[in-house]
Amino acid sequence: MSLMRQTQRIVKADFLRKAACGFLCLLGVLFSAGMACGAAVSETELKAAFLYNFAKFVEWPAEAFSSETTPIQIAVFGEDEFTVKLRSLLSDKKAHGRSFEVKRISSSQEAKNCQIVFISNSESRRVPQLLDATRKSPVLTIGETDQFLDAGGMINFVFEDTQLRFEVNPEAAERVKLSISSKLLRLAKRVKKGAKE
Amino acid sequence: MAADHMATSGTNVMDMDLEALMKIEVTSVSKRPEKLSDAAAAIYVITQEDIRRSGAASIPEALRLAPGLEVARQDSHTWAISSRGFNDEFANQLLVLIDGRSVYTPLFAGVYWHVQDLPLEDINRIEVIRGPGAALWGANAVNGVINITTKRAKDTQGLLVTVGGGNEEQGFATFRSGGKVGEDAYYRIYGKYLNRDNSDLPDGSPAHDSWQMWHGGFRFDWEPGVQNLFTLQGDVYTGNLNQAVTVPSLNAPYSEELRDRVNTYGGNVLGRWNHQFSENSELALKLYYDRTDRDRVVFAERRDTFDLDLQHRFPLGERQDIVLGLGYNVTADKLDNRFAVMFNPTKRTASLYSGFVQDEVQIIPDKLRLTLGAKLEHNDYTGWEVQPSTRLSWSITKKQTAWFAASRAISTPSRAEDDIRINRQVFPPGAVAPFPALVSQFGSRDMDSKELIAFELGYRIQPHPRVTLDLATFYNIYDRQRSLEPGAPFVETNPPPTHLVIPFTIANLINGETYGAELASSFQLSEWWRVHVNYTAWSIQLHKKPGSNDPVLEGAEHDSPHHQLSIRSLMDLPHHLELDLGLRYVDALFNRNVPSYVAWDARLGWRPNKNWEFSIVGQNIFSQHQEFAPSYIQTQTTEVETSVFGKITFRF
Repeated sequence: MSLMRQTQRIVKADFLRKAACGFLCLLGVLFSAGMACGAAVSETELKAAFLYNFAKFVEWPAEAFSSETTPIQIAVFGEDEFTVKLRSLLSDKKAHGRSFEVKRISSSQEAKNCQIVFISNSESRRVPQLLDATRKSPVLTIGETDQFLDAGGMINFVFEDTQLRFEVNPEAAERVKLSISSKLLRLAKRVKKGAKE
Repeated sequence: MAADHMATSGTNVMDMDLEALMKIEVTSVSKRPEKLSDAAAAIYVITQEDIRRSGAASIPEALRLAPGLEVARQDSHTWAISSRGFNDEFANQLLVLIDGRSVYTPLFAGVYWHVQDLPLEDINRIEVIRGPGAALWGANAVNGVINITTKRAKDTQGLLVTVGGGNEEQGFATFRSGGKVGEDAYYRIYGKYLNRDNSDLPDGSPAHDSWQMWHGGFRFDWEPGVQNLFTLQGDVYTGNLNQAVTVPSLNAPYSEELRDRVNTYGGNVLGRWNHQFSENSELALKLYYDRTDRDRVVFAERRDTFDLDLQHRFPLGERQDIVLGLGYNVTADKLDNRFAVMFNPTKRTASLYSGFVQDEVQIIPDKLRLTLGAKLEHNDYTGWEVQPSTRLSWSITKKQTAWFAASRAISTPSRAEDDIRINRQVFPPGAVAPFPALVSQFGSRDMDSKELIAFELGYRIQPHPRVTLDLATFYNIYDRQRSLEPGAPFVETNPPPTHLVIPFTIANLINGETYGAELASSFQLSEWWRVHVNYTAWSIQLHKKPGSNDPVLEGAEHDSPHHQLSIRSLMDLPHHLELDLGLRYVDALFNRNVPSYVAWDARLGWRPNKNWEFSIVGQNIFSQHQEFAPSYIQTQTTEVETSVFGKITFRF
């Protein structure tokens, strides 16, 4: 009995080795096949593209900028990786005739002088603090946490399975004289209304 | 449509308008509702996307994704699932919750996994916490907590239909419909059916364990304003499970195999109110009623449970976050005795009340966090119990966290440990005595709660933006574990014929240690290719305490695998194809005569657009193997066969 079990174990160990080897070979083949065809869209790229579109469909009051030519400043509260990617993707883009400037921030006070703030999921604990800091300034606040709109945020990313959607809280934007185009509202998954003040 | 997908990398996306962007599918959704990296516990989250990509056909299969869990299929419908040792069909040190409703049966403290059969598409996430969660969750959260939450009704709007079938999964279907009532209320209703084939006996002939299950339910969420969320949800299910059980008999041939068709049905309704006072302060009130009913050839059980739970979270000063909780649970059962399994008394009501407090202190904000907590509870079996824990989390850098925890947890005796008699085996006349000799196990009202003192140390690091490593280690000291003590044989005349009883009575005379390490890692090799590697090592020593004559102690040391390895590869290929491959190695269980095994799983999915998904899943592709073996109730020992099924999902 014990001899049989031992044999079985040896056979299994051998099988495991072969199996693992086969697995890696298979992965290798698929890897090269996949490379040949090019990659799909990453979450980061897609979010960057959405952000760019949001910038196009939101109007800031004139006093939000110091001059006609100052760029739209985007502050990112979150991972460095996203900031870098966003900066490179927006480097040659313009909205309302203005170019973009992307920076990563670590304190909510820095957000006040920007036109767009994106607060990533990893910083969700600081959402209240950040929204508090920008409450009176014409800053478009964009988040990706569950209660972002309820907390007073303006645009919130949500995933519907693997597709990116967004929700809008137009009242929060109007309060600081930002106007969100009707097109954006129409495409939103949810438009928050009736928040009491 | 295909153009959207292939018109990919980088700058092209920037030139698309919103409508086009909304059609794009993201390759990896890494979104997690909360930051796990600084949690001071061995926690792993299985997301909806993980479940979908795994090809799992049931919750237990999805649980194989978590490191550190032992998930073994005992037969077609029965699973043994545990963490950090002591695995069994009736594993009693793991707490399992579905939307806050405890689903283990207080009878054995095990989980009947086949009736926890939610549509997998409705699951929001599964949190798996290895190690004690008792300070928050209470008794029986000794070796782990599995916390399954379903999606909000708001997130399941529209229509979902899935149908599929294969050689083992002989047919399954899910229907779900979600809608909106007025401005602030959402609902979903669903129904599910499945039919699973027999597994194989080791000699290749079919076992008697096929089963069918029907499941239906609803969820209704009402969100009047920002501060309140009301939820009402419920399920009903009914199923038939084939089972063959070998039971002892006092007449020749002294044992018989009974072919059983187990009828099981049940239902529950749960209400919850969440009220948000402010950003950091909220109140949650939850109550539920649950009924389970099961008629087996070896015993029958009907159980009603009512549970009430109140939690309040609020900040105290700048740096402290307090959670207070109060709970009350009452469960009443009615059992039918058969010769193999008997309970005395056959009806019993047990109540439990509890309170807990947890204080999370930011010693150095965003750097060093201390969590102190304790649960105090009173149960009808052992009276008052205190379960404290201390957790410390240190964020060394943004990408590195170390944590430490020390906890005490207990598992209270189950109804069976108090009141059961299991007649295990009959020796024919002449073997031991001139008349038949019956080996019986007895529960005991002297049974005390089993204790664990656990020390855990963990480390997480993201050495590269595309790599995460999560290591958890533990040293557990167990005391007053269950032993089986032989007693003095006695003669019994009822039921006839006259026979000798060789009794074994359970006691708390075992202590021991377990220790081990669990590693979870993930590698994003490229935008379209992700690999997860999990490894678990586990070791145990058990010792008899003075006065113990337990003859089977050694065996219990080998109920869990010493090594487990899992490798999963998830690939997003062109043309909306997904290819997911998995490899699992599980070490032998010597006590159960289960050899080590390697299992291969694969899934090929195609999502041509957002409405349709087609997939082919192969589980355990190249080998047929045994994963576990029954202990207390002698059902058939079976092997898991290769299963291939196709599945079509339609969403609208």
